[in-house]
Amino acid sequence: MSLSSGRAGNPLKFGYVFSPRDVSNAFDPDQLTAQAQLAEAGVFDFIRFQERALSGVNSDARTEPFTTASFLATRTRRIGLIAQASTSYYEPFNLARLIASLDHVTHGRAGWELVTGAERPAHSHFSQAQRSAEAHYARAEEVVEILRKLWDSWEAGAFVRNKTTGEYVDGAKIHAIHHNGDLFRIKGPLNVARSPQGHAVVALTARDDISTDLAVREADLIFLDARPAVDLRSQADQIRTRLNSAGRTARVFADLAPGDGEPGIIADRIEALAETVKLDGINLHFGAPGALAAYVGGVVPELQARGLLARDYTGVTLRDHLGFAEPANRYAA
Amino acid sequence: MSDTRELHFGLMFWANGTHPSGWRMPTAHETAPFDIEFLQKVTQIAEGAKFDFLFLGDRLASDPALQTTNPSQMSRLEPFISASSLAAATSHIGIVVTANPTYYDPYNIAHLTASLDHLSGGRASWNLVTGADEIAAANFSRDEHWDTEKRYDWADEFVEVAKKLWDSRDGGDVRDVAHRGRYFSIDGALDVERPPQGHIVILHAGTSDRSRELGARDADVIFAAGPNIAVAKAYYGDIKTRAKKYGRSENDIAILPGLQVIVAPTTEEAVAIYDQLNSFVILDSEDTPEEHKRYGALGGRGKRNLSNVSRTIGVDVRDHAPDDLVDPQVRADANEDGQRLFEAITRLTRRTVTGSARITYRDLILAASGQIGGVVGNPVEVADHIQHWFEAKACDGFNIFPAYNPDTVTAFADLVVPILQERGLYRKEYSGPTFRHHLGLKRPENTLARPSVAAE
Repeated sequence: MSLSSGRAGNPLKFGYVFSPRDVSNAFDPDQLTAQAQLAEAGVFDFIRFQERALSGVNSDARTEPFTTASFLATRTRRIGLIAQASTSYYEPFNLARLIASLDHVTHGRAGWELVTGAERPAHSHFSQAQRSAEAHYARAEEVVEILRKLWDSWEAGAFVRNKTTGEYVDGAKIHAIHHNGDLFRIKGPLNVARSPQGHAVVALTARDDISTDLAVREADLIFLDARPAVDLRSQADQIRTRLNSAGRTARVFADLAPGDGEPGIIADRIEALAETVKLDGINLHFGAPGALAAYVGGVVPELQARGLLARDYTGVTLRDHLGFAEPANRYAA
Repeated sequence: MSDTRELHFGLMFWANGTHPSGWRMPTAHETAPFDIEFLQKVTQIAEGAKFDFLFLGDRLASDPALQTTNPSQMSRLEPFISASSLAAATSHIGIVVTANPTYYDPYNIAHLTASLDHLSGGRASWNLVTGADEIAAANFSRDEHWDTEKRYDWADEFVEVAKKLWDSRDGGDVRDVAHRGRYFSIDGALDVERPPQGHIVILHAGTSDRSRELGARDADVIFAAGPNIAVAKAYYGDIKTRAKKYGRSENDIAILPGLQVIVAPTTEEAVAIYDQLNSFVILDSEDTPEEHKRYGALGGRGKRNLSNVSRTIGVDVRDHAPDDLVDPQVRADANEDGQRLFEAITRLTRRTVTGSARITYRDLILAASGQIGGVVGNPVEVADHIQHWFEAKACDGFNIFPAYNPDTVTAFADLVVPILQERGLYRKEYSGPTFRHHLGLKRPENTLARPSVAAE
C-alpha cells in the first residue's frame, strides 16, 4: 500500500464531475439516475453538477444543478451532491434556501460550488452590465457572509412542536440577521430550519489570486485550476500554507481525466498526481458514455486494493465523508 | 381540455396542515415540513387518487408570530428542491412550484422550471404569485414592496421572457431570445433543452383586476377565492370571458378554488374531527378596554377572543367563557355579519342555538377569526358539495386543503374520490404522463423564429 504524506495514511477522496457527454441523453432522468448510482457504487465522495459551460457547444446543455441534485437525492443514499450556482446571478436569500433545502432532502449530503460572473459571465442572460472580477468577487464575499448568517438563523432546537402545549417554535432560537452590507440588506431569518450539516459544504476553484483569497477564507473544498503538475504542486503548497496561517481546514483537489487504458496504469496516474501535489482528493472527468462504468468496474477495485480508495462509505453526510465537523452556530447562546 | 368536463383536483400541500392546529392532531406527522420521505408519501397518496397536481405554496419571509396562525408557513423546504425530490418518487402527478417574480430573475425561473420539467417527465408547473407579502422586501434589499401596478407590469414581462427562454433551445436549434423590454434585456438562450411540455403549466391566483387579466391571458390553472358559490360563479364567468379576448377557449383554463375537506364515514365522526381540530386552537387573551375601543368595528379581525366576536356580531358577549352555550337571544340580536357566522357554524358543525347540539362561544370565536371555510361531512355530503359547485360552473374542481397530514388526504382519497369516479365526474386513470395531459392541453408551438443556421 502506498501512502502520500498529504493524506496522512487515509485513502484519497474522489469527486465525479458530471458532464452531459457522459450519457447519451443528459435530459433523460433515468440515465442521470443510473449515472449517479454508478458513481455511488464507485464510492465517490460527491458528484459535481455544474452549469453549462458558456463556451461549450450545444451538446453541453444540461439540467439545472439544484433540481438535478435534489432529484437524485432520493435515488442515492450516501454520495455527496454538489450543485454549482453563481453568486452574481442569484439573490442571496433564494440561494441560501436552495442550498439549505438541498441539505435537508439529502440528509446532509449537500454541497455548493461557488462560481461568479467573473469566470462564467452570463450578464446578458440577467439584464446586467459587464462587471470587473473585483466586483464579482466583492459580491461573492458578501453573499457567502449572508448565507452563513441565514443558515445560522434557525438554531437546531428552534422547532418545539409540542402537541400537548401547542408550542410550535422557540422564538428565542430564531434570529433575524439584520445584515447591512455594501450590496445587500437582509433582515432574515431564513424560512428553512437549520440543515443537517449546519452549513452545506462550500467548494470553490482557486484559479487566480482573487478566487484563491476567497477560497482560503471560505471554502471547505478547494479545487486547483488545471495546470501542469509542477504548477499545481506550488499552488497547492501555497494554499496549504495560507490555510495553516488562517487556522482553517480545507480539502484540496485537482482535476484528472483518467482516459482509457489498463486499470493499473490509470491507478498509477492517479497515485502519481496525488503524491506529487499532496492532494486530499481528485476530481475525475470522463466525457464519453460508458467511461464512468468502465472506471468503476476496472479502476475502482484497483484503487481499493492499493488502499487509495475506501471500500465503502463510513459516514452519512458529506462532511462525514470529508472529515469535517458541523460548524458552530454564531447565534447560539 | 376535452369537451366533456371533468373534475380537477390539486392538493394544497402545507405539510403541517392548512388548519392552524392541524399539526397538533394525535396522528398528524408534526415534523413533516422537512421530512422529504413523508412529503413523498403524501404525494404518492394524491397520485393514487389521480390528483392533477400537488401544490407547493411559499412565503419569502418567516416570522415566529406565525406559530399560532399559520405554523405551516413559518418555515419549509424551498419549493424547487421539494418538487425535484417529489418528482423522483412519483410518475404522473403534476408538481406546482410557487415562485414570486418580484424577487426572482426570469432566467433563473426558466432554468429551474425547465429542468424540473425534464426531470419529472413533463409534470412541472409554476405558480406565479406577485405576493402581497410586504415583509419579504426586507429579505431582498428593498426598501418597500412594490405596489400592485409595478408588480404586475414586471410579472407580465417576466412571463413573456420565461416563455421565450423555454423556446430558445429546441431540438438542436438555438434561438436567441433577443428580448428588449421595459425591465429585462436578455440575449442568448436557455442552457436547457425545450421542456417536454413546451411551456410549463402556469398557475395563478388573485382577485385584483390585474391578476384576473394575467390569469386570463397566461394561466392554465387558476387558484381562485371562493367564499361562497355566488362569488365563485361570478369569478368563474369573469375569467372565462376575459380569456376569449386572448383567443383562448373556456376549456383552456381550469379554475380551482381552495376547499378544506373534513370527511369521515359518518357526519358525526366528521364533525367530531372538526371539533377536535378546533379544540387545539390557542385562543388570544381578551383585548384591554383601550384596545377594544381602538379596534372599533373594523380592526382586530383574526383575533381569537370574545372581544373580536363582540365587535363582529354587534353584541357584547365578553363576559362569557368559551365553553358556554350561546343564548338564542344573542343570535336574535346579532347583526348581518353575525348571522353569516352563525350560518357558517351550523353548516360546518350542524349545531344551532336551540337544538340538542348547541353552538358555543368557542365556535363563535373561531368563526369570527376566519375559520368558516370548507366542508365537513360524510363522503356523500362532500361529494354532493363538490358536484354542486362543479355543475353550477362555480369551478372546474378544487384545490384540496389538507387540514392535517396525512389523514385528511387519505380520507379524501379513500372516501370521496371513488364516489366522484362512480358518478363519472372524475378520472379513474390518468390519460397521459404529463400535467398538460391531465388538463387536456396541447403542447404549445415554439414561437421563436428558427435560426437560419442551426449552430451556436
